[in-house]
Amino acid sequence: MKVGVGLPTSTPGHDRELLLRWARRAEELGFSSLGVVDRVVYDCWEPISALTLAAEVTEQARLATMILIGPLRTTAELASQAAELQELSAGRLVLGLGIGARHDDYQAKGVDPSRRGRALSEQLAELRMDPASPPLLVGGGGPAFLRAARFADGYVHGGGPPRAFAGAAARARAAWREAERPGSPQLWGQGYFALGDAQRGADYLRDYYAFTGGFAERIAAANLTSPRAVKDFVRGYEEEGCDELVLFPTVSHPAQLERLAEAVAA
Amino acid sequence: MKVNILGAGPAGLYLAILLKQSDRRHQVQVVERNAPDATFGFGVVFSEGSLDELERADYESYIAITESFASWNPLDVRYRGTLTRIRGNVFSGIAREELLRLLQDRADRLGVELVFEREVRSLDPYLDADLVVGADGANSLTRRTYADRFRPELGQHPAKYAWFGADFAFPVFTYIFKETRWGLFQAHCYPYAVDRSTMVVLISEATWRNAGLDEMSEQESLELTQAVFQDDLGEGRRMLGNRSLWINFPWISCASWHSGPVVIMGDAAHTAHFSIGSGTKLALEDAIALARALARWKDDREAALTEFEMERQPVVERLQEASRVSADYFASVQRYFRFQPPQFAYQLMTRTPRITHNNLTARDPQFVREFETWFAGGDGRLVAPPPAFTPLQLREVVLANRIVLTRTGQGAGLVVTSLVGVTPEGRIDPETVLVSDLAPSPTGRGRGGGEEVMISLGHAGARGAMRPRSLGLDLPLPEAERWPLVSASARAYAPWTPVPSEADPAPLIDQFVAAARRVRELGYRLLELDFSRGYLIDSFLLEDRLDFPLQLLEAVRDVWPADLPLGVACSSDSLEAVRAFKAAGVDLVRVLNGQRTWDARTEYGRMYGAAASDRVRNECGVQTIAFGQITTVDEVNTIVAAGRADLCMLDPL
Ligand SMILES: Cc1cc2nc3c(=O)[nH]c(=O)nc-3n(C[C@H](O)[C@H](O)[C@H](O)COP(=O)(O)OP(=O)(O)OC[C@H]3O[C@@H](n4cnc5c(N)ncnc54)[C@H](O)[C@@H]3O)c2cc1C
Repeated sequence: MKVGVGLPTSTPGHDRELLLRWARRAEELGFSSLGVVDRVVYDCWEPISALTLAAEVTEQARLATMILIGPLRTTAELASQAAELQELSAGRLVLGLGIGARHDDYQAKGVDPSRRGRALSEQLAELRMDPASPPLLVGGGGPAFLRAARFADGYVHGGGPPRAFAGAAARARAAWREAERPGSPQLWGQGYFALGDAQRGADYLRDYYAFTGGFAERIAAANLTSPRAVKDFVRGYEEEGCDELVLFPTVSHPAQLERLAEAVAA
Repeated sequence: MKVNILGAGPAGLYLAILLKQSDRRHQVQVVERNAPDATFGFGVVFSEGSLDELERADYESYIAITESFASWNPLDVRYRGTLTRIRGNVFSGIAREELLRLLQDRADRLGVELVFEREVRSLDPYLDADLVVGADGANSLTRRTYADRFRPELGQHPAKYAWFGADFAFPVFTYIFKETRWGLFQAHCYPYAVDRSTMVVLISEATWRNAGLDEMSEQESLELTQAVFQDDLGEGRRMLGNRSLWINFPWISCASWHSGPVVIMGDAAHTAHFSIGSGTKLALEDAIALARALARWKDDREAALTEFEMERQPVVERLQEASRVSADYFASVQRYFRFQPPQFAYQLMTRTPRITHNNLTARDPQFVREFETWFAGGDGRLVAPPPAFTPLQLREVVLANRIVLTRTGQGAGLVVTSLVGVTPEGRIDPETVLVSDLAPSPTGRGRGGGEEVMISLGHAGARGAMRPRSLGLDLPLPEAERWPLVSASARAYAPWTPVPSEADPAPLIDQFVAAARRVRELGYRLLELDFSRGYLIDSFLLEDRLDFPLQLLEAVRDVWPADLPLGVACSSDSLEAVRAFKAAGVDLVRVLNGQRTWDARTEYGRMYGAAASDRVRNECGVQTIAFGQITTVDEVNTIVAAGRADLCMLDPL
């Protein structure tokens, strides 16, 4: 299993300097990929722009959207952005797409959320048939498993303990089999961490996920706040057959990255 | 800490005990509308697993409760005048009244303030506490008051049930299935004292009406039910009633269990069908988890309640899911009344995916050994292979085992091909094998392993002219490379796929017949027609046009040798269609429910395909192949042994 790290693009205090430094250092520390999230109605960077910045200061790391809310962009716009980044980064983009979880993101963009599942499928079909398409992943539950098997190279899980990942991975594989795709799907997982300053990390998660109601508390409570917790989490994901696990920061501080690298390596 | 607990059922009382026991300074009040000795129901059963958790949580009440237990481990199934006994199941029972009395005593001695005969009509007077606990049962006022925060989902199981007692102790947990002129009566019976048992009686709504129970008094319905079960009770023994009428089991689940200082637990927050284990055990475990979380997060109530919810919700959800499957099983159990008693009992034991062949073998090796010899043909043998490795005869063809794979040389009993196109226009993609490309096989078997091979003939219909599966599914070829598409009507399969033209059925029949002849000439002995997944033939079925598929089937059956089996791949959506296929000479149905329309949704849970196969096999009386997240030989054993399928497509992990 490869381990990647999220870029600080939505944590409080994110800025250009930090992002560049973080991306550069993450690659030096051996993280396999740099991940970004996508939200419109929140103080955060647009994912493709953030990855474009990161692409300029890195050579090896894969650049992954986990996930990008496809229906919020027109397919033509997304395809050209992706193609550009793909070229700029010498083919390191992995485009993870989903419908997202929030209606207000759709309102903000003036997109009708009631057709979002279908819109995403149509978008994926179009992207996939373009010979210049980057590798695609699909995230989400329910219909997302077949969507991943139909249009993509794999499935991105939305986060949670290894058990939850295992359940989703089994479904993603089952859909893959049903679709008679050869081989097996790429399976990506993700988690949150705060190594030091756990309180700030929890505050950020509560705020970021406030729209989920009581669920925000749970996400905050599951934040990985000790090297031990990180190690167990990484081992758990590996055992469940995850191909690439991306750990997202909840505190905007470069020391977080160093500590994560130590915890993962130990 | 000041705690107000509403409801003195098992959940509320046990929480009060645990809180007081962890810190005597807590002020704990429990408010209950009934008198201390008023109770409903009879015995409470604890099934599966031990009560170690109770022992650790509060030793005194654990000893008091377990000392009063009636315990047993076999389980009896009385079905069609026979009795099958399965050992190795751990069950204990206790009178609900006794359980509550023991908990009340313990709470009282610890200094819990118990207030009886006070109905809570509004939560307001109780909110001046650090914690307010709604342990007020399935009809919870607390849950209703904060419905906007807890977001409850409520439902009802269609079957009717009632709690009765009996004036003697059944020797062990006993399931009784009794056919009457009004319909089926089932009883789940367990002892809970030396001279008492609980009998939960289940009937369908139709039976309830047929028997006139909808218009009877409690006494009359007791008498009727007793008459039904008199043979099983034994002469002179009586059933007892206790204010329990025929009701539908209420499903309750909540998105959240806490809000501010208010938390709900036990039946107030969730129910799990009684056929899988008691709500009482869940209620007690909730209390343990909540007390533990509160002790750990002394000054952070929010963290404690979150932790409680995080710990318990997944456990409860899993149990609820299993209990739904179990409730559905009992509601449709008549489907299995053709089964011989050993298989009927086997199916009952493995009704939820929680118990597989291996689990059952660990519980009662002797039962499983006897079952396996019966399954392998009986005939006096002492040893037999596990069900998955028992041969299967289909007309003149004998398959070595029950495992179906898509490649030869891997040990399967049967290898089934991907869709083989009847004509070039019928291909799915340029890589689809055509019947004209098939290699001859003088024995009908594959190279290498020597498995029987089943050729699956089909026509892609509106799903043709796609790019190869290595890229994806349903991605149309560039326009210049496409061939003309046909389907039942001129409708595209998906919004992004091309519109086909309307198919002309007559020549299609000739093409299928010619292809079937060719398959036979090449030497193959098993043929399947693909009527599934929205391909050409299924596009007719989707429009309820059964005529053409049937004509096609009859025409193929005519040219396919009578001593060789013919299969169909189709969905379980129309059992009527499957029955017609069977009447037209189909021996084997591969049940494939996915992809009939582009946006059809499959729940890909463990062994998800078994339920659909079960329906087809046992409602239509035809042999089936199950497909859908079957990943181990243990699962194949379980599905085949339980009569849910005759063969399983294995997806090795
Ligand atoms: C009719 C019936 C019979 C049953 N029989 C059995 C059986 O024989 N065996 C078995 O295993 N399970 C039985 N069950 C299920 C089992 O009782 C529950 O799963 C289990 O008791 C749940 O515990 P609890 O503490 O959450 O809720 P309950 O045991 O339901 O306790 C809730 C308590 O709150 C009180 N209460 C409710 N509202 C108010 C209010 N507004 N003011 C004051 N007090 C209030 C009630 O009087 C009750 O004492 C039965 C359920 C029903 C409905």
